[in-house]
Amino acid sequence: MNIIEIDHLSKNFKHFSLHDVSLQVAQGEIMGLIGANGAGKTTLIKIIMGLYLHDHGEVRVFGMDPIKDGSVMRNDIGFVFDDPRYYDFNLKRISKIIAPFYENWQDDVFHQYLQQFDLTDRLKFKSLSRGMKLKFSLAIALSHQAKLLVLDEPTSGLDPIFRVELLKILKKVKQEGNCSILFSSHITDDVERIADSITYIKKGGIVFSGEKAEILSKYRLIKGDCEKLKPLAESMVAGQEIEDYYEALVDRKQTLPKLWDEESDPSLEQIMLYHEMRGD
Amino acid sequence: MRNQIQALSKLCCTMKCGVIEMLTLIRKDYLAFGHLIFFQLLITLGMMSFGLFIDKRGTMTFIALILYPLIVPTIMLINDKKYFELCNAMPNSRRTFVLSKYVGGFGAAFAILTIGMIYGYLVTRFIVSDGVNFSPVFGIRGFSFILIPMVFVNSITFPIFFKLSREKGSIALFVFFGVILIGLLVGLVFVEKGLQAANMQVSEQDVFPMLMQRLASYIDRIGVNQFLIQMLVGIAGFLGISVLLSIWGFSRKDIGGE
Repeated sequence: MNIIEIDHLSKNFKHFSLHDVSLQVAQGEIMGLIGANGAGKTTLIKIIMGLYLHDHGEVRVFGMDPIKDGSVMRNDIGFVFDDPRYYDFNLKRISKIIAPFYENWQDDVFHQYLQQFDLTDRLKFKSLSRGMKLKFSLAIALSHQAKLLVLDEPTSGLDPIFRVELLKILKKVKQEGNCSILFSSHITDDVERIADSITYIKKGGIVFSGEKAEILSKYRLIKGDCEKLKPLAESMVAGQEIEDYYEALVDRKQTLPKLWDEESDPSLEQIMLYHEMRGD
Repeated sequence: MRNQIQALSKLCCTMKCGVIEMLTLIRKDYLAFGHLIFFQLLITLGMMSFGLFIDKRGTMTFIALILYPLIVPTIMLINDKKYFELCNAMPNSRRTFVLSKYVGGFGAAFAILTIGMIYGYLVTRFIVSDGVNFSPVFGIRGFSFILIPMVFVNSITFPIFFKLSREKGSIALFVFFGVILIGLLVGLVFVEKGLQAANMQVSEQDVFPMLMQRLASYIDRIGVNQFLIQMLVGIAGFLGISVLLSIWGFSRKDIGGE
């Protein structure tokens, strides 16, 4: 069963547009949404949350329309936004404001997470660092038995130790509650570490969306002499000169004359990097 | 028949959920902006006290009683604007969100007005008996007259601030009231010229009192209660249009892009 279903979605702004976006997130799946800054990740997340309207296409979350059925739909969604904005009170008072909105709010779970994240409920939201604000936001998102977590750049601004801890928490939440997670990040390492599937957005359009293993095995990274490899430029995703050799990303299915010296599996970061280098 | 019962029970459930959602949103606003409401209450009572104890002429008292509660709903709405994204990412519909702002904001203003009324009445009845005469205002009729400008002004500001950002909304409001003021002045000049053209010698200073006199004679003719009912029906209609416009504007808006 798909928790999120997006079909040929378009959204136009004055200087930017999301065009023909289609993706599905299955129950219990972690989907990583990657792309450069300004690619459209946050816009897509806001459409899923019912905050932005869309111009064309269809969006269904739990089989519901995010605008028309937003009230019911959002009861089962935990969210963390890139720039969390809560009322400027201490964390206890904020939780008092937020808790009644959710049918399944668990105060004990909320306090457990606060403790785990080294936060006390006497702290004022304004006095928190960006990382602490994200942690607090995450504690809220995890405290009402959400069936879907929508996280926009949850790891940016966090120290590496907590980033690893967060990824562990997300995995645990997924396993325990059969919860689906959609999380955007430009830190591809994090996505590669926990995502089951990956969607890559570039300039408002989807470059690829599918299972992580499938995507990672689709490409190969070749290294060799500049003069030999440059003629293959047409067949490459993209390539670049690095010191005295040439490195390029190519589709594994493509039959090319073996002109390279070394061949390896690319990381997600390299796949994204070479796709970004490509002009289209 | 069974289908009708099912539809009716679904409708009841939707309404019940809507009411619970709205109460949760109003509770949120009171928790988040309780300090602002309390501050407005203190200012209202403070300015009223100046009028009641020192000035003793009533102008300050009534201005305070009308003006300060009047701006409470809009102040609450403007202060919540930067949290619109958070509020609308939580389980509630946009329509309920808009309605909660009206009900919650007007509720807060109504509470301040009621406390101000009772305070004014008690002071003039038991402490300062030689100053302001508060009794004509104290009561449903006086209360309704004070309530009308509050509903009128907020019915204009709400659709503007639901549709536009804080900055653009402030500019739009400034332009709107500026146009009304200029329109009023130009209108008065035209009335004066018109009267002069009809060989009625009226000076500039007389036009406004003359219009007020006409209004007073109209009220005398139909009776104060009838006039009040007309005003209340008119303002209720205006409020209804304002609510519809706010819901319409807010439902067609991307939230959080400001």
